[in-house]
Amino acid sequence: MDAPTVRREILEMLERLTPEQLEVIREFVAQMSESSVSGLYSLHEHAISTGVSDLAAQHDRYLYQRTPADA
Amino acid sequence: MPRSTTDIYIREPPPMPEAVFWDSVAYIALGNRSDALHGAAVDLSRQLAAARTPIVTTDAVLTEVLNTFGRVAWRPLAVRIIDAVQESAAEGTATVVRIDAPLWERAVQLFRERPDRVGTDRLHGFCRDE
Repeated sequence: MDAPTVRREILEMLERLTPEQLEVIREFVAQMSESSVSGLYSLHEHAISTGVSDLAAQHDRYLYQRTPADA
Repeated sequence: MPRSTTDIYIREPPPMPEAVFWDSVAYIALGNRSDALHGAAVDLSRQLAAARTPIVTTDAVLTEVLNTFGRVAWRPLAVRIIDAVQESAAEGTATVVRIDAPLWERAVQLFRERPDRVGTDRLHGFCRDE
């Protein structure tokens, strides 16, 4: 069976599922997707808890003591 | 007729860019579970991964990211980030632009010509644009 046919059959079957069943499928597919990626796209799997909630948005301030007024 | 969840999430995936530039915010948000942007960054990373979107970054960005995670307790993450960059580069899914002398000179020229530019006005922002 070719890929487009498989895709169409899966989509047709998905239409008949309940929301709860769709959630199970979503988690399964997400796990499959996760296991197939590596490198930068799996970086979040190695995330740490720094306790700093604005580190990304305010990294200038933490690194250079730069404030929005300096922009 | 309302669209089904299948239509919305499977048949009509959001358009993905041809390539995406990873700046410091991307690395920091993904690497810091405590970050307010972490969830959104993970969601976007998954979407980009599913589309196999190529990543572009620079060694200047990586320097800033390593400095951000330079504390001793955070250093293992910094090393993991470098490993991840090298893995992605080896797979061909990421390109690290090296800030060599000619690129640096062009970035400095842009920096000199655009004194009005704010927000991303540090030199690596100009390197990205070059």
